Formats: sequence, C-alpha cells, structure tokens
Amino acid sequence: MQGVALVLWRKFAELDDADHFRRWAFGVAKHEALAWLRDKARDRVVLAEDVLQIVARESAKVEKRLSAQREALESCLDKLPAEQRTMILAAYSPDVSIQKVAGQSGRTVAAFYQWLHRMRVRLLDCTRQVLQAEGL
Amino acid sequence: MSESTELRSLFANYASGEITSDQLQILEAALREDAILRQAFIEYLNIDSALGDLAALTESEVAEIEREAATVTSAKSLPNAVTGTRNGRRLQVLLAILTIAATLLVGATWWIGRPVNRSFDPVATLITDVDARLQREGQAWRERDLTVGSYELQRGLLHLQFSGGVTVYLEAPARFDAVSARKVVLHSGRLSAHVPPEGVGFTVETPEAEVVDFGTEFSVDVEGGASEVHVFDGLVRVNPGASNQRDASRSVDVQASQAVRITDGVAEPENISIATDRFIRNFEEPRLNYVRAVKRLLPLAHYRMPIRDRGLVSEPPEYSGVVLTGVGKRPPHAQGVFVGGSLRVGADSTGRGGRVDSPPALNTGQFSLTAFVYLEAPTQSGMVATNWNGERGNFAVFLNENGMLQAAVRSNDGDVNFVAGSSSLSLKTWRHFVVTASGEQLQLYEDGKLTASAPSASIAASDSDTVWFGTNAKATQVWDGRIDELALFNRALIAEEIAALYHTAQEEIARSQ
Repeated sequence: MQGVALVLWRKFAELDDADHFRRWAFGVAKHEALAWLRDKARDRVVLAEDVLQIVARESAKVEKRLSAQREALESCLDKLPAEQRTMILAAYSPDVSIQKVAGQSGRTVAAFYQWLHRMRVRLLDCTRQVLQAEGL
Repeated sequence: MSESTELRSLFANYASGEITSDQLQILEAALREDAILRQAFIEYLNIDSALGDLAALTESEVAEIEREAATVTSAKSLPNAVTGTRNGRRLQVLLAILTIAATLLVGATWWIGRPVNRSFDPVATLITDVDARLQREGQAWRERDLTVGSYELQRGLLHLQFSGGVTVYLEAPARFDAVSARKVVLHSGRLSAHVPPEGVGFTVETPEAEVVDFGTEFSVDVEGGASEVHVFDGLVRVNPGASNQRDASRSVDVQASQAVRITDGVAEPENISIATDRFIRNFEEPRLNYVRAVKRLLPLAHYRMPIRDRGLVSEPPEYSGVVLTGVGKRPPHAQGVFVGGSLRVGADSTGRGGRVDSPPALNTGQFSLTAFVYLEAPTQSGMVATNWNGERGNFAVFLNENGMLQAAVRSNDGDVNFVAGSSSLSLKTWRHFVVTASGEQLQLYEDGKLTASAPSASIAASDSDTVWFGTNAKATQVWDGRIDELALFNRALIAEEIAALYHTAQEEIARSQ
C-alpha cells in the first residue's frame, strides 16, 4: 500500500487543491483496503454503515494528530523491553499463526489477546503523552 | 464511561475480528452516542494499523520509503522550501489515511464484496449513443440501463455512466461484459474511461490483463491477442495475465502519457508510445479558442465534425448536411484534432463521407476553405472537399498523384486553375491547410505558411451545388483518414489571418493533449 501511496503522492503533491487531494486519497484508500481485504477478511464483521461513515469523517478531521501519533509509536515501542516489542511485532507479522505466537509467549490464545490489548492501550497512552509534550 | 475498560476490550475484539454480533451492537450504540469514545476508538485503530504496518515492512522497504520521501521532498524544496514541507506532510497524511481506511474497512468486504449484482440490476446508464446497434446476449438492447450481462456493440458509439461518476466511451466493434457498477470485461474493442476521485478502483478486465484505475483518464484497446493501455491523465495499475493467472508482483503502474501493451503469452508488459489520436475520448465540442478565431473571420459555414447522431452539423445550422454512414468496421467518427470528434472516411469502410445538399452560395468571385486533414494510409486522389460535379461546382481540394494537397477552382472565364502543395502529407498526422482564391491568385497555405500560388481569375458562381466532404459525387475519389474543423468563406483570407489561425490551433492542440 505504501508503494502506491508514494507513486500517487508524487503526482498529487503538485496540487494545491487540498479537497481534491483528500477525496482522491480516500478513494485510493478505500480501493486498496477492499482489494486487500478481498482475500483476507471475508468472514469478518463490520460496523454499521452509519457508524463507519461518522468514524471515517472524524478520522479525516484529526488526520494530523493521527499521523503524529504514528510517528510517536516507534519511540514508544523502543521504550518497551525488547522481548515485549518482538512479541508484539511477531503477532502483527503477515501470515502469522496467533496460536504459535501465543504458545511462544507461554500464554493461551485468549490470554495472549488480552495481553496484546493491554500493550496497545499502553502504547496508545504513551503516544498521547508524547503528543501532549509536543503541544499537539 | 467513555473509555471504560469494558468498551475498550470491545475495540480489541473488533480490531481482531473476534467481535460477536451482540458485542458489535453494544459498540455501535456507544460509538453513535459518544464523541469521546469515537476519538478513543479512532486512535486505538490507528495504533493497531500502525503496528501492522511496522510489522509488515521489511528493512529494505522502510529504507525505500524514506529514500523516496527524501528525494521528492528535496527536489520540491529546491525552488521553494515551504513546498517541500507541505509535500512531506502530505505523504504522512496520505499514509495515515490509507492505513486508517484499511482498518476501518475491515470486514467491509463482507458487506460490499458480496455478489449483490443480480442479472436485472442496472450497472450502467446510457448517457448518449451515436448510431449505436447494441446486443445483449444475442438480442437487440434498447434500454437506457445496462444490466449485468454480455454485450456486443456492432455499430456506432456509446457513452455510459457507471458508479462513482465514472464515464466510459465505447467504440464499435466491441464485445464486453457489464459485470458490476465498477467493473467491465472488455473482450475486444476500444474503450476510454474518465474516473473522478470517487470512482477510484474502477476496473477494466481484458483477456490479457486487469486494469485498475486510480483516478484518471485512460483508454484500452483489445485486439488480436493483445491489450494496450494508454494513460492520458493520472495513474492506472495494470495486472498482466488472464484472470486466473495474475501475479501481483508483476503489476505495473502506468502514469500519464505512458502506454503499455500486454501480449497473450508474454510475461512482461511492453512500453509503447501513447496514441493520442486513436481513441474517442469525448463527444463534446468545447468552445475552443480556435473556434472563436474562425468565427471572427466570418465564415459562411463552419463544420466542426462533432460526434452526433443527427448528421453533419453546421454553424449556422441551415447549412447542415448528412454523415454518410456507409459500411465499415468502425464508426464514421474519430478523435479530432482537438478534444472532440472528426469525420472518419475510407480506411476500413465504404460509402462514407459528408454531404451538404443546401450549402451556402459561393458567388462573390472569392473563396476560402480551411480545414484539418489526417491521412491514415498512402492513397491517391483522395478528396477532402468539393462541389464539383460534371459541369457544375467551382472548387475541389484533394490529394494529387504525389500525395500532396492540391486545390482546383473553376474561374468565371471557364478556366480551371490548380495549385499544389510542396510536400506530401505525413501519415497519421494532422495538417492544417487553407485554400484562398482572391480573384487574382489561387493560393495554398499549409500549417500556416504559403506553400503554393498561381494566377487565377474570379471564381465562377455556385449557388447551391451539393458539397461533398471526404468523397466526390461519384464516390470514385475517397479520402482515407479524418477531416476536421472545415470552414467555407466567400472572401480570400489574408496571410496574417491564416498565420494567426494556425498559431491558435497549435496552442489548442498543446492544451488538449
């Protein structure tokens, strides 16, 4: 997805029309997401359309903050013990077996999911602190 | 309440796809009501998708992205440092939007990707057609809505609207399947698509490739075991191979002014030159500067050769004529010298051309004719325009035996005077020409310059002799190519006017490509 973003961004970086850029970026994002999900997420459930629309709209409004948060995430990950960091990234690796990663961590799958959730919350809190320190 | 542990755990279940329908309903209800919870949800998903990206990227990919960003930012920042900063920010914003959207849409395929198109659901609407004969599953199809099915466009042109504001031009002969509001399978023929941002993802599948659009204007030509993709604006992704043999790693992104050919059985797409004049990409004839320039010269009649079903349109309308549709593989229209159409004659057809039965009177002793011509194949004696028929008529413009443009006028003293150009016409290239008869000189201008001149008395009067475009009255001299923007005058244009006209044309051509 990043590769496409770069190619397209080169063209649209020239545009001063931010609205057009945003409409277009969402169009690309939607298509890329759907293409990606076509193979991977057929059996997943999704939020009701009205909720999706609100969330998507509000996401776009805070895109600057979200972008900064993603940048802060790397430093927050670095603050974790190496073992935890490795385990988190292993859980997110493409085509990974969550049973296998859970087993390696010595947890049941359910317990591993709970641990992963706690780690996400901790990372989220960390990024919020970073952003607050930066005045965002 | 907003960030209660219980609701936060539902975030996790949603992100992992493990949420139950009861839990989903609770989450939806809470998100509908609570803006702070939504903010927390968005940030949680942001972290989740960012972790996914970090885990998925190899070190070399991370390096490549950083290198690309640095290259573009530094290139942009040379003339203006602010621009570079903005672009860097835009990259971040774009990446964020892409990943957020990916996360939010998890599961959307479950909803959107289902085969919702039943055979009677319309997937496209006809905007307009030009002399079209369309069949669906072997039966004539006359509805405005196209439903899912296999179609054959046997004659003429179609302009269709799909979802997301996508519009498609199809030229006969073509065979295609309307699969959904966002997908067409083109088995053979030519298609041009305009895709606004809302239509991104519109897909044209061919026997040799899948063409996915990312907000652009592109054309596809499928013939004889090969597919060509020509991109006029924006960007498309081409996935080579038949539908069951595609390998994403062989995909190529084709940008504006680029074109590729994918041949059956050949693994790699081949880069080719873009064909700016092959595809019909617009039925409209915009009010161009060239048209205004012609109008200022006060023509008797101006034939813009629009792609219309109602004949050979003139300005003013009383001098309109008919397009002789004849019989041919392709329609009697083609891409014109500017945006819009032109009259297509000869080539793969017979009986084609234009005829005006009530033309303006040419009786002042002076005359001018301006037009663009485009030659498809080497030919002799092809006619551009004439009202000559036996003893009647007073002008003709045609190719001579050397492949040069030649003009003939009949003088009021009964003589016939000729003037011929200095160079043969290049194939598949537009040439602007003007013939003027002042009562003293017969002159030919090509691409704005005087190329030939001969003495000639005032031309004989012609009040109502039928004018033919692309053919003579007996259909023995037929043009092989296109004719566009033809105008008739009852005075001799002067060199300055002609040079200015040509200059305007050049500007217009540059703008329309």
